[in-house]
Amino acid sequence: MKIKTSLTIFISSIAIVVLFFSAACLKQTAYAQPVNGNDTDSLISIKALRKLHAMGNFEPITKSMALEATIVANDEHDNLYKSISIQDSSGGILLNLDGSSLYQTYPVGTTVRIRLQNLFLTDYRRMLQLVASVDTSSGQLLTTGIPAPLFSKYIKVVKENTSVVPMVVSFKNLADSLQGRLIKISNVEFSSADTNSTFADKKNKIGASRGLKFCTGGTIYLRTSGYADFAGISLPKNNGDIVGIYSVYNYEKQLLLRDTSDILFRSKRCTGAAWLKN
Amino acid sequence: MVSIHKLLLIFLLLVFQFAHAQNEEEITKQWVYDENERTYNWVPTLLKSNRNILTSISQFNGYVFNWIPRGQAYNNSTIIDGINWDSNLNGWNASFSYTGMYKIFHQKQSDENLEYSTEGYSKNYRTSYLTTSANLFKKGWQLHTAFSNASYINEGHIQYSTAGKHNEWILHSFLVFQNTPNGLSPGGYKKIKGAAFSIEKKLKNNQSFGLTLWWDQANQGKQAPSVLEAYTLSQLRNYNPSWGWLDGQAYYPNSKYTNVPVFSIRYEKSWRDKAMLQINFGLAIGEQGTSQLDWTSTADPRPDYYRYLPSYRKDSSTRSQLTKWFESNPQALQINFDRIQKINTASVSKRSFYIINKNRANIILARAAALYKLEINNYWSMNVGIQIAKDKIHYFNSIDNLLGGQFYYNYNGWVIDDGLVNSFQNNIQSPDQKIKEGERWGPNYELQSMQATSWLQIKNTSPRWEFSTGLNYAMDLFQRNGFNQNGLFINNSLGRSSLLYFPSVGYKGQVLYKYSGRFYARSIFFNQQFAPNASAVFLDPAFHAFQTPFLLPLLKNGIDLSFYFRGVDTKIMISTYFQKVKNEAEKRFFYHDRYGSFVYGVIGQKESIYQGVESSVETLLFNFLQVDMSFNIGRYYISNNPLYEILLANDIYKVESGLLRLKNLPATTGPEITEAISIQVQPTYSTRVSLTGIYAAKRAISYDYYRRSALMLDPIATQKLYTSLHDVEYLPSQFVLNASMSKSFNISYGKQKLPIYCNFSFKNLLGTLIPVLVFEQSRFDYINLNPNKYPLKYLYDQGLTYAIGIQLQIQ
Repeated sequence: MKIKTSLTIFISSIAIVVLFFSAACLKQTAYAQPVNGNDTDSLISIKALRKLHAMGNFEPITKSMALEATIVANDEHDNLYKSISIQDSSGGILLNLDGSSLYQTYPVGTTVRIRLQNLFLTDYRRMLQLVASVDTSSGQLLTTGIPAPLFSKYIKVVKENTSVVPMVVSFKNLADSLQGRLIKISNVEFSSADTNSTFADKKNKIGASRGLKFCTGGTIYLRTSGYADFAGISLPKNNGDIVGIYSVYNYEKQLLLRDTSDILFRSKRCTGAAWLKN
Repeated sequence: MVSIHKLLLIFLLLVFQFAHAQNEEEITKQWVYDENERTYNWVPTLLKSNRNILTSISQFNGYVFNWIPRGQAYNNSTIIDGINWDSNLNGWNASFSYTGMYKIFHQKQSDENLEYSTEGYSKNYRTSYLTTSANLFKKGWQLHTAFSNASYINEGHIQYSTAGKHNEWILHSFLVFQNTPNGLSPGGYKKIKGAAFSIEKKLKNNQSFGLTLWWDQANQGKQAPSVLEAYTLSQLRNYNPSWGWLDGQAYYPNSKYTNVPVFSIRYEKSWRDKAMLQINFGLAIGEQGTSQLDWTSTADPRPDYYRYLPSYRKDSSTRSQLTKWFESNPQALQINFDRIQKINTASVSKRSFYIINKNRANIILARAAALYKLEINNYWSMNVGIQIAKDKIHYFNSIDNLLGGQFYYNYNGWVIDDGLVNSFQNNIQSPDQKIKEGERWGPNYELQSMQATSWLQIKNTSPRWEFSTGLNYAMDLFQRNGFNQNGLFINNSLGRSSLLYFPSVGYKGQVLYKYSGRFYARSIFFNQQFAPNASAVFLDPAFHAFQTPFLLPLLKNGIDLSFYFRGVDTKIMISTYFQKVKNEAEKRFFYHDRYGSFVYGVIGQKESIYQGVESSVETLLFNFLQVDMSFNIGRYYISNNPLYEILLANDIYKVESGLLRLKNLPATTGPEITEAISIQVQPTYSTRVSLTGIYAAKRAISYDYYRRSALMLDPIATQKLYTSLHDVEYLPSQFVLNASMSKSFNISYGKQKLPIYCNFSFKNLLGTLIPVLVFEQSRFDYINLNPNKYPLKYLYDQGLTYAIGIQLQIQ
């Protein structure tokens, strides 16, 4: 009996030691992280959020809500200023942040959870945006992004290096619901009158809109800031695909380029009936 | 010997029971200036001081008010073993090279008000003559420890001296450490270890030879000033925005350090007290510098940056949100080094946007000095001397910490992007250079200075009259040598500049009339020229060799008239003075909102007047109570509207010039009215208690000159706006109270009696919130003229601090 008991104790001890070391070899337990603090806010989709806005107005967000989205554009090449563009599977929106070099903290591909309470939904020339404050005292609607010290209060990084695949869109499908989203349009080229121009006026820091024509008919304008580091580069002459953030300026359809590497113009310029209609 | 060790151990155990406080600078200054302490009379005998009580109170107790007698800042000098270790070059701080080691010095003489000195000629208001001569220290061991909650937490030093007879070598040696672990003082931390020794030998025929070496290795954190709003949000009077959190630990990148051994030798020969020749040589080789967080092409990391604070927000809701956020998240008012490290680590090319940078100065200083004193007869005496100083300092930056990245670009961060490829290159011979940790970057240049000073002093003494006069002639030479060719100043950054030569002359005189053995009248008059130092000569030697505009010799002339009564138990002094300073210059590098660029602001031909009345009374009551009182009133103001220029940093293009409307504005930040009373009680020979109270009024803030230009102010039609932009603020009148107690007693050890000296001191007993530094920022809202956009910055006194020091003497 004594031998049996000792054997049991011995085997149990070995098992405990083996289990202990096996557990230590595993990097992380499978337990979930406890949810606390502001992570209890109700999650809302960007599409649902956009529906709360009436164009030309502003809506304070008073409820404890949050959205989870992935950053698709930032100020890395200075074409966006004090804002980042975020999207989830339902839509996209601009988030205004009152800070500089945002790309260093919020690189493209970072999934963030954004607390919405106390922010405002507004639009600038019909382009929807989330801002921290609005001021109408001057008779105009002036907005300010989230102050830098409050970034950590409103924005929490959930995941890094999320892959972002642009949505392929044709001209006829370009609609307000795509605002703020990373899209890819194909078979486009700059009008021949513009091909000797640069993206914008870098010297005088003046932004420019250059017409991008679809071979199948239709035009979208590529909007570039005069501060963009690629503003002084000549426009490509060929035809092909281009990736950017869909935006609007009133009713003009625009594309915001993140970087010139988003332009994939490798084909010959287009010909044909539809092109002639352009 | 064993017993000595035991005793040491007991002593150390005993003293480490105490906890601590007092400003280190104050303590150390006390060491230097307390002559009695030098001779081990820890508790000084009353009324034996031979210095002006006014200076004594302001020096030891008035520093929180930046109280400088006669309002003249930076007008002191220290001569050690006949050598003036001050340099005309920036980057070298002589007193920092012996920080914490003041006890290696013996005070020879301390002259004030430009008095005739047998130790040499000085054109500064106050000069201290110190010596390290080993034969002035008594034989034995001295063990000292102190605790403080101010600039250091604990300090210890050991001093050993041998006494010697004729022809014997005499040694005086000293070891010191000071330590403050991270986070226990507003500056962050402090580490000092230093050693010094001095040897002396008397030779035949009244000759002597000595040599001295001191070597301090010190590194200490530095506190940065901040705006009032940040202090309010932090609810800390000692808020320091320059530190932050890294991996859960407090991290203090703002620091200064020294590592410069200083060596000197001296030879002396005397001829029956009638004449004396002293020859001194000195050499200092090492490094001093500072470190701080630096950044480029990224967001400003300073937590108190004006755009991050609630006041920047126009809407009340965001303001209130920010205020609540800072109040409930005090870490948001410190630098987030974890975030910074993450940004650097995550950058695609592994480029560091933030680094810890070291501004380094490699120092070589050589000195030779000679002094000859002669007693011609009972009435006439004279001294003549010369000092030659050759200084060479190499300035460069190196990266102390890449904070997670792998390299930092060697770019000039303040260049305004003009679209040219090379403008921002610090070294166009290695463009886009990637700098690794420990490597050099940024400006890389050397400044050389040579100064030769000679003087002659003559004194006549008679029973009623004393006359003395002194003449001084000096020449200063400067040269810059650039080792980098930067992209902005391709033709003026690399290589040697021309040699710049500045002569200067000066004279002073003193007349003393003795009405009786008790009453004296004295008058001093002087006219001195001062050559500019290298930092004033070159506009920005880090980047080019252009000379600063308005370079003229600084002229100081003045006169004073004083009356003294020296009774048995009472001394009274009253003095009236007038001094005019001409050709003052200033330059500053700052961001100018109107030009959207960094600029150099240069001021020249500024004139100031310092005038007033000083008085002091020192009296002994009932043989155990000494009362010192002082009352001073002065007016220190700028007496003209000086010239100025604004030059663009990119190309030195002059965009503005004219006059600054500075006339009648304050010339100094020192208080114009001070009243002080010090009561010292000595109930027994071994005990002394003292209490000092100082009231200071009319303290001006340090203000920015450039915003007060005629160009900006003259078009303003509204008187109220003009006044608010032109006039200078005065700080509230305040009172500080300090106390100290010293006690000595003997402990018996066998047949020996070992004296123990204890000292307790308390600074700012009432905990008054006293700003020690308040200044207008260089940046100003030149577009909308809103003075609150870039508000005043403050640094506050630490409040109530205390110190306990204990010293054991073994002979």
